[in-house]
Formats: sequence, structure tokens, C-alpha cells
Amino acid sequence: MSAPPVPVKALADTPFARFRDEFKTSPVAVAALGVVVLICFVALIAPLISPQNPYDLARLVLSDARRPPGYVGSGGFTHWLGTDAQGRDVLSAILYGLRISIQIGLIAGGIAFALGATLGAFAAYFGGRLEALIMRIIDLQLSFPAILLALVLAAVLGQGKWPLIAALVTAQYAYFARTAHGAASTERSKDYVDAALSTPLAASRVVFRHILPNCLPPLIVVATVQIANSIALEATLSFLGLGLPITEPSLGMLIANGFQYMLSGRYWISIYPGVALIVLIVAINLVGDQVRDQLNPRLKR
Amino acid sequence: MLGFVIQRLLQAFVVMLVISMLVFTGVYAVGNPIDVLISPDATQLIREQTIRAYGLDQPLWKQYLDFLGRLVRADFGRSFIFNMPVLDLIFSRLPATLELTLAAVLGATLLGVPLGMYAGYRPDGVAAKTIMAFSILGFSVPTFWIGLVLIFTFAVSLGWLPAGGRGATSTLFGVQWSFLTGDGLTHLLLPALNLSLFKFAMMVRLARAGTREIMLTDTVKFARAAGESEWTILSRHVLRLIAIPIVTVFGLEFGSTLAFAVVTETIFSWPGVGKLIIDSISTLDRPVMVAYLMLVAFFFIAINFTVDIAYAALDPRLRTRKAS
Amino acid sequence: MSALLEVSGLTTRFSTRAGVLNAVEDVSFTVDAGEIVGLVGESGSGKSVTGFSILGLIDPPGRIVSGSVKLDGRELVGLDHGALRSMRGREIAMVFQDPSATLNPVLTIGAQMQLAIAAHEKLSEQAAVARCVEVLNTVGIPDAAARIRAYPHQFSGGMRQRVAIAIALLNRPKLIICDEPTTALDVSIQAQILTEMKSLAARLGTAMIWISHDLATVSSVASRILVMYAGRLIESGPIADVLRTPRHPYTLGLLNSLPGIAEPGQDLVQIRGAMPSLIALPPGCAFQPRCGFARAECATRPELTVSGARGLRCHFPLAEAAE
Repeated sequence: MSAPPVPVKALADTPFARFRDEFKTSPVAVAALGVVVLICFVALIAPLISPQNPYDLARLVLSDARRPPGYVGSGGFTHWLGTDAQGRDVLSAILYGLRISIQIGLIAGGIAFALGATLGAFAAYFGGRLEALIMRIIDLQLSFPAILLALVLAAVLGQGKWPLIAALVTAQYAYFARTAHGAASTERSKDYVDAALSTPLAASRVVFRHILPNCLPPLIVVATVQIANSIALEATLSFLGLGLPITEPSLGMLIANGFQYMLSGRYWISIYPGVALIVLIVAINLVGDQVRDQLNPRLKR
Repeated sequence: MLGFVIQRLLQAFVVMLVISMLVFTGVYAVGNPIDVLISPDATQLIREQTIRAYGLDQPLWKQYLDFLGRLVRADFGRSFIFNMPVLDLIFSRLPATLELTLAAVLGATLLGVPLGMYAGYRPDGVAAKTIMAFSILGFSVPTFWIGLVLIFTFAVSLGWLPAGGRGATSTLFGVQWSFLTGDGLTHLLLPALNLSLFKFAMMVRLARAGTREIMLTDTVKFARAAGESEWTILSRHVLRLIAIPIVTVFGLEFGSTLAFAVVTETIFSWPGVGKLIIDSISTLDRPVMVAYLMLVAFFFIAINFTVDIAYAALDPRLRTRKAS
Repeated sequence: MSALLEVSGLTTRFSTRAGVLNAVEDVSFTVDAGEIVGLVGESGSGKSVTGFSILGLIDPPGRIVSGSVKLDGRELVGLDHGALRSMRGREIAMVFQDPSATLNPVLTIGAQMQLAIAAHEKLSEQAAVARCVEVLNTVGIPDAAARIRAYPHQFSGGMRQRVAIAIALLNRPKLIICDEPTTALDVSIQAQILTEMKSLAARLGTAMIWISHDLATVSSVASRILVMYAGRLIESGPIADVLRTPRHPYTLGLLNSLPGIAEPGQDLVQIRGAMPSLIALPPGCAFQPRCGFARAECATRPELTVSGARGLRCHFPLAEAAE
């Protein structure tokens, strides 16, 4: 039941070192972080390690299509995870797909973070009617399901990477805004902000240099969750045919393309990209869970 | 309390108006519906007649005002594709979605809350860890993927359950329901399970977090010191205390589950409004898109409104504050 | 006649991430039926943990590692959960510091009282309500029959604490452990509750352990006093004797820091330093680093010596040093 007593170590002196030491006590979280780093690395060097460039349509051979895992294709190499309906090597498609999924997740999450945190912090800083209006809009948007918002936006903006990112950002910035607003309101009422205000500093300086850094812990928690969410959302939109163009299939689209073949037992076209997607998302969420538990002051005794 | 209700109603009205504007302009930006309405080889005359018949030659603001005017009479226009009043079309699909959503949310709550409470009560136990592992999976894995796996496992490999459709239905209050027939139930099971997993994970987490925090409070210590059993403490004290966030989320999630039904309905070919909206997006059926989004927005505002009132009813502290 | 409660050699240990500590170490004392005993110490001295240990309410990572707690001669340490549960509330009850944190905000006080009754006996709804009203009257809540349908937030702080006391009294326990029950209240209400608790105890014959950091409060209710420091009992005796001739330097320090005792206009005397961390207690006497009378012998641990009604854990008791 109870964990073995942890040997007493010299207390870490920086907040980051303390955070890192506490993080290390959870083997699951450490393993998950390892998986995330590994996947990101593999995705980064995908062009170097994949057997095939899955986006080069000229290289695809139709007679190789829908072959089961282990099939040796006309390219002379083994398709360890089989091939899809266009004769694409599923493993290569997964590696490239991960690349796109991670890229979009990070870009969308990053923009949503910057936009939402700034908006929320400024709302808390200025207060009054402006704050009330901004927060009312954000609350309203939060009550509206992100997937539907993204769905409509993706439909309105059309296919492509940037429309998709815009849709994801619109669907997600509100989470950051509310979190930043909550944390910033608490910070706003503290003495040091008044102290900063009594000096001739610009409002933006007070917000960016003093208030926002102190709101970081809850924002980081939201960020891990939201990056995982944007990846899942992107996959869902692509699955519904509203995401990326078919020439550069992301994981969601690979899964969608394989769906029709799954009913006839050709599971590998959908299943393997799905497994890759899930391992990535679950690993990010496990890291996020640990970070959240560590940063939640209410669970500290 | 009455003042509070009226104020909220007014707010809701303004919000609906703003949303109608956004939705109308937003959807207006999508594609060119004339290409959908008329075959490419139609004569110029037919083309112009059709454009005029649907009011597409009018400026945007005029079209919006016409739309509002018809809206007052509960007229959302006709579907380009189905050529029938949009409202009739949506209402004919609504029971299927409601049935699916309700089954999913109820299942998720009835199962998720007790399991989550247990996980929060004994956070270090093996059972709690298992429950949480499941909830992380349910939380992380995209709905559409779970749907695929469910179909592959139970419909394709095992052949136990049908892969899609609503199955046989039976009539109650003049509406067709699947859950009233055995065949309908087998059709309902997989999609409902698919749709509920995310909500289940959410309920588990919510109940666990609430229970964990409350178990550390003096309220629990005091109840223990009075000799109350752990069961009494969980079922009477803790459940009542976590009921407030859970009811809120239940309400809000009911709405978002309606939205997520889009994915599940597409995978399981469940003939509800979710499938309708996906079809209408791909066919550029503007009136259906507008009407659907307006209805969803209306649902959300109604749900928020109800949750606010329910909040006031559940939390006595809030009730007196608002009454005074 | 043997005592109602007999605690001997009680040690409660917490194994935390930072290290292992004894929140309560080798604590022994008795409480007679109907007696009010004060338990005094600063925060972290182990006085609340002592209270929880008696009730068997120590949550992991803490546990009672040795010692015994006997109620009417029956051993409580090591009882199974069910037996402990049925003992709590019925034989020993507890009242906490902050009534707004102990009462459940979403249940009416009537509902909460009925849960406490139902924990121990099956009463009809009517009989249970009658009992609640009766007890609420006893603790001085006016219009009790109507007030049982009210929620905790509809009571004032003092009234809320009376409700909590009523819940503790519901099952007519022989002993109530009061963990700083007046600390969170206004001073005027504090005095009121103190007097009423004292007369209640006398009237009902209920014994009390009154835990507080405030020597003044304790001296106005208790007939006997126990002083704790760093998890150990360091001095005990009849309240008047201890106040008149404190024998442990720490008790003297506590007394000197009381506003009522110092001459008007004089600065209050503080005990210098702070209580050491329980994880890194000095060997020997725990108070030695702060003690003005410490000598070389204080590096070995003093044992609790009992003479007559007084108990003491010190190598160089004050009275001897002064005389």
C-alpha cells in the first residue's frame, strides 16, 4: 500500500529543481515524458528514417495497395505495418503523420496560449466593464463545445493547415484566457502589483513582466492538456474530412481512409495510425496529470 | 430570485441575437450554394430564377433581416438538399440524437460518479489506479477512434452487435425510439458506449478530485468523530458536497455530448442531427447549418440557464444570497 | 476507583516524505469521570494529534506505534474499525476549532444531527427530532424546533459552535475532546461558551479534554492541566498549583508571556527561539536549545517523574532552583 520511504535528500534550492525532483518520484510520468520525447524525436527525423516518402505520389505503386503487415513491396523493402489503399507504406505514413499532428498541436496550442493568456491577464488587470464583457464572452464560448466551433470554422475557412490552426486556436484560446484571468485576478490583488503600479511602468510591462509569470503554473497545466486536445481535435476534424488536404494525410485522415477497409477485415490501415495517435495523446496527458497534481496547492498537506 | 431570472432571460435573448448574426454571416461565407442548387448545365434563366427564389441576390444584411423575420414565425427556411422545411427535418432527426445522448450521459454519470468517488476515497489502492488508468484512456483517446475499435471488435471480429443504424424502433408519444425494442437496444449499445466514454472519464475525474479534497476536510473528520460510518460519510456528506459541480457538469456536458454526437453518429450511421450537420456541411446546405447551429446555441443557453437555477436550488448558501 | 480514561506511553508516528517524526511521544495521563483536563501547547506540540489518537482517527501516513488508551478499562488501541466507530460519538466525542469548516454546508443541521444519532441507534424520525431539539435547547439555541431546518450558514459563528457541541452531546458521551473550540470565535462569545461548557460538563457529568494553545482559556475551565512540548508531556498537575509554582522552564515561559500576569506597562516576555522541527529534535530534552537554565545534563533525555498530583519532565525543576 504505502510507498517505500523516500530517502531524505538535501532540499533542492530552485523551484525548478524541486519540481524536477518531485516529478522524478512518479515512474509513470517519467516514462510518459520519455515516450513524448521519443515520439517527437522520431517525428522530427521522419524523412531520414522512413522507408518511403508517403507524400510523393509518383513513388506509390498501386499493386502494392492494401497489403498486410510484413509484405515485401515492389520498392524492395518490407512494409512492417502494411500498406494503405494507395499503396503507401503505413509506417512511413505514420511517421510523417505524427510530424504533422505534433506540428499543428504545438502551433495551435502555442498561439492559443499566447492569445488567451494575454487576453485573460489584461482583462484582470484593467477590470471594470471591459473585464466583465471579455469574461462574459469567454464564458459563453467555453459553454459551447470546442469540437462544434472547430467543425464550423473548419467548414467556413476551408481545408489547409492554417485554416485548421485558426479553427483550433479559436476553439481553445478561451481555456487559457479563463485560467489566466483567474490566476491574474488573484495576483492583481497582491501588494507587489500595487508596488509595480506606483512606479511609472507601462501597463503592458506590468502585465507581461509581473503578472503573467506568476500565472504560469496553472497555464502550464492547461497547456499540456490543450496540446493533447488540439492533436485529438485535429485528428477528429481530419477524420470527418474537414482537416488537412488528402495529399498530406495526418493521422486522423489515415484512420479515416482505412475505416472503410476495416469492415472487410483490413484493420492495419486504421489501427496502427490510431495506436500511434493514442500513445502520443495518452503520454502527453499522463505528463500533464503529474504536473497538475504537483502544481495543485490544494492537494499539498 | 425573480429579478435574477428576468435578468438572465434578457441576457440570453441578447446572446441569441448576437449568435444568430455570427452564424448567419459565418455560414454565408461558405462556398457557393448555387452550384449545389442548380445543375451546371441549367440555363441562365433558371439560374437567375432560383437565385431570386432563395433571395440570394439580396445584400447580406437584407438576407439576414429576412431570416430574422421568418425566424419570428419559427420558419428556418427550406433545406436545399431535402427540399423540406428545415425545422421539420431537424425535428425528425432530433429524437435519435436525444436518445443517444441521454443514454450516454446517464450511463457515464451513474457509473462514473461512484467509481470516481471510490478512487478519491482510496486514492492509493490498486482499484483506484485501475479506474484512473481507464479514465485517462477515456479522456485521451479520440471518440472516433474508440468508435472504430468498438466496431472492429464487436461488429466485425465478434459479430455480436450491429455496426450501425438505429435498428427497429417503436412509437412512444408519436416519436420513434430505439430503446423500446430489443433490436433497437442492440443498435443503441455501441454508439452510446462510444459517446459515453469521454463523459465517463470526466465524471470519474470530477468525482475523484472532489472526494479527495473533501475527505481531507474537517467536515469529514467531524462526522467520523461522531461515529458515522464511512458509507454514511460518502453517501450523505461527500455525495451532497460534490453534487454541485457534478450537476453543473452534467448539464453542460449534456450539451457538449449533443455536439460530440456528430462524430459518433457519423461512425455508426446513426440517423440523428449530428450526421445531418456533417452531411449539410459537405453539401453546403446553408439553411440546415444555420438552423442547427442556432438550435445548438439555444440549447446551450437554455442549459446554462437551467444549471444556474439548479445551482441556486442545490447550494443553500447561494440561494439566500440571491434572495436577499 | 480507576480513571475514566487512561492513556499510557502513547506514541503516534508520521512517516512523511521529509522524514519520520513522532507527533506524540510517550504521553501518559488520566482523566477522571466528570473532570475537565486542559491540554496546552503551541501549534505542532502534538496536542491535537493526541486527541485524534484517543479517538483512533489517525490517517496514514500516521499511526499509533505504541502505548495504550483505556476507556473504563477497555483498551482502544488496536480495536477493529467497527468497534472504534461505534465507540466514537457514543463514548468519546470531539468538537473542533472552526464550526464553519466542520458542519456540512449543504445539509440542514437537523439532517446532520440525525446522521450522528443514526450512527449509534435506530430511532424513529419523531424520537430523533425530539432528541435533537432537546440537545439544542441544552446548549442554548433558542427556538430549536424551528431551527433544525436551517443550514449552518444561517447561524452566527457562536451559534454554529453550539450546534457542533450539540452534535457531540447527542449520544451522551462520557468524554468530549474539545480541540480549541473557542479559538475561532469572538472574544465575548468565547467567554460565554467557556462558562456554558463548564456548567454543561458539571450538569451532565461529562468529562472533557480541553485542548488549547491559550493558557488563560484553559485555566478558566480546567481543574487539571497537561503541558505538551514537541510531542512530549512535560508538566502536569492541578491547575492552581501549576500556575502558582510552575516547575518546568517552558511552563514558566508560557505563564510569563500571558498579558494578565505581566505588570501593566511592562513588555511581555517571549520564549526565545522557536520549537525545533519534530524531524530533527535535539537529543535529550527537546526544550534545551531554548531553555535559560540548560546545563550539560540536559543533553540526556529527562524522564517523566511523578510526585503526588504533579508530573514533570525536567532535570532541573524550577522550584528547587529557586529555593
